[in-house]
Amino acid sequence: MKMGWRELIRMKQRFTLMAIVTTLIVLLILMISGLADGLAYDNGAVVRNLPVEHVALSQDAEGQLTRSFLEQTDQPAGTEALGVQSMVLEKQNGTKDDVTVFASPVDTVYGPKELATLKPGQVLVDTQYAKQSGTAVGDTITDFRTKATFEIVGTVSDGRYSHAPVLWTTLETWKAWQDKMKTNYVSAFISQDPIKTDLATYTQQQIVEQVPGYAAEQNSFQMMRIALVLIGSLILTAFFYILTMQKMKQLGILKAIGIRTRTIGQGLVLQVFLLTTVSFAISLLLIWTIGQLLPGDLPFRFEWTTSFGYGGLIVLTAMLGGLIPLRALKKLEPADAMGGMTG
Amino acid sequence: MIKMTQVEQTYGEMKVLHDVSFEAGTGELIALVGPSGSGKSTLLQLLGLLQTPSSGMIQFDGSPLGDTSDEGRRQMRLEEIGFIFQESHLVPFLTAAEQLELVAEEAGRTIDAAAQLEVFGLGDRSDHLPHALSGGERQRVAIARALVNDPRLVLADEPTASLDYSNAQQVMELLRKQAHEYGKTVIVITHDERMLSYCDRVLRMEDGSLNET
Repeated sequence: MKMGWRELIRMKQRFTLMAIVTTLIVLLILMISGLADGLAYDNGAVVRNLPVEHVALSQDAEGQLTRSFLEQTDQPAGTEALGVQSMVLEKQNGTKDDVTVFASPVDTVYGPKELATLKPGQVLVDTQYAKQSGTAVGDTITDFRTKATFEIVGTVSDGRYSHAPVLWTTLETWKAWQDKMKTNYVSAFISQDPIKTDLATYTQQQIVEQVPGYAAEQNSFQMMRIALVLIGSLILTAFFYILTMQKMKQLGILKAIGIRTRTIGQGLVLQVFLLTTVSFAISLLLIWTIGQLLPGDLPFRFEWTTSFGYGGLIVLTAMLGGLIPLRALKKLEPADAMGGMTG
Repeated sequence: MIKMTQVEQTYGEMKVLHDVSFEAGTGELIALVGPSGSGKSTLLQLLGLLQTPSSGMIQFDGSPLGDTSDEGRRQMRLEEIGFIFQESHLVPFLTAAEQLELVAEEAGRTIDAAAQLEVFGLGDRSDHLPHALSGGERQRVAIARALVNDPRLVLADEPTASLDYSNAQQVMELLRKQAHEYGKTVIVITHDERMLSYCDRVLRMEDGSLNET
């Protein structure tokens, strides 16, 4: 151990270079994962933010909120009605955007608390959408199909569904809008507790997974994450393998003078562990800083637990990679490593 | 102290040592000379337990080493045999004192490395890394490292080859002192005829055979 530590602190140039490369690899993994996680979160953000565990939909909805059509009279006890429908929104400047309307009772337990202050015809919009689209509190927006108008009176954070911004409003406004479309339905009944009903019931996570495009997107992200961790680990493994193999002659001399393979091996493992752990800590700090500096509309999500998960995996695989040369070290014949004694 | 009886060493079809027998006693400084490829280093590696002979017997203090385990051989290399190499082969990131401590600690011993280096005229060099030492100083640290566990057999493979004459004389003087004053058996490979005057005996290798001159 002592020998490994001394090499680490005295061969600074070599190990600093290695630490930089390791840090960059881990940073790349955390960065891409953060973006993938951000996109994944963004896709079902509005549903994730609802503090409910159980959702009842119509039997043929296949778990999709926008495909469920329920009579409010069928509302099971202890639940809250939720209206969800996509809308083509026309702004004051004449441009159009796809949004999803979410509606809850004015005295909602699960929706945004700001709904309590809304009057008929008023809506809340996603904060990021408001910034990007140039709409502001006080603006009036129009549903392109029904020409119903809504006044923006506030914003909500993380209000996105299937990557589209969400408009939150009350069921009263929802019904008025429905009347213009000559329909009369709500989309879901939601509750924190299990729902006793003949309707199809889902957990919140299942609803998120059924958000249009979510599953396909996640499969791609998952493959990307696996490939990243795998490639990163392989690079680090090769890296540490080469590091040790370069020192084989020196290690052979040590074995020749009677130093145990275990003594040498412990030093090597300590180096790999410290190098990857320190690099991981630096990457973590960098990725957190980057997360703070990135523009809010960029779907980037930093989570300590996820980052520690990836980091732990990288440290572990790098350690395993570092162990491979120990086999070569164990088999190393000191006589073979000693170039001088060949005459 | 160490005895070889009818030792042969073969690599595949090539026989490197032919029927080599010799004995080295306590307190002897023996030179091993001969042209390159004559088998000197193979002989030294056999004596240093870095190889096992294809046939024949090696005895250390009367005990045959044929059945000694790998671990037993390692322990003997650590405690009973000191190695000195042509290019010192010090660990580049350890100070002179730490080079000695590494070997001593591996044998479970605690030493005053600075005091031991003082004996070799390196008292003020104990905190220096190898790159900060001259060639002669590096070789003296290597000798101090080889002797740190007080081995009874010292094997040196051209220890003066990379040194100027003055430093080479110092190294040979140190080795002679170890043999004559401390009773160690020292076997030195050398190509430098001038160093033979320090030795008690000269063994000549030629085409894998050993002759005493």
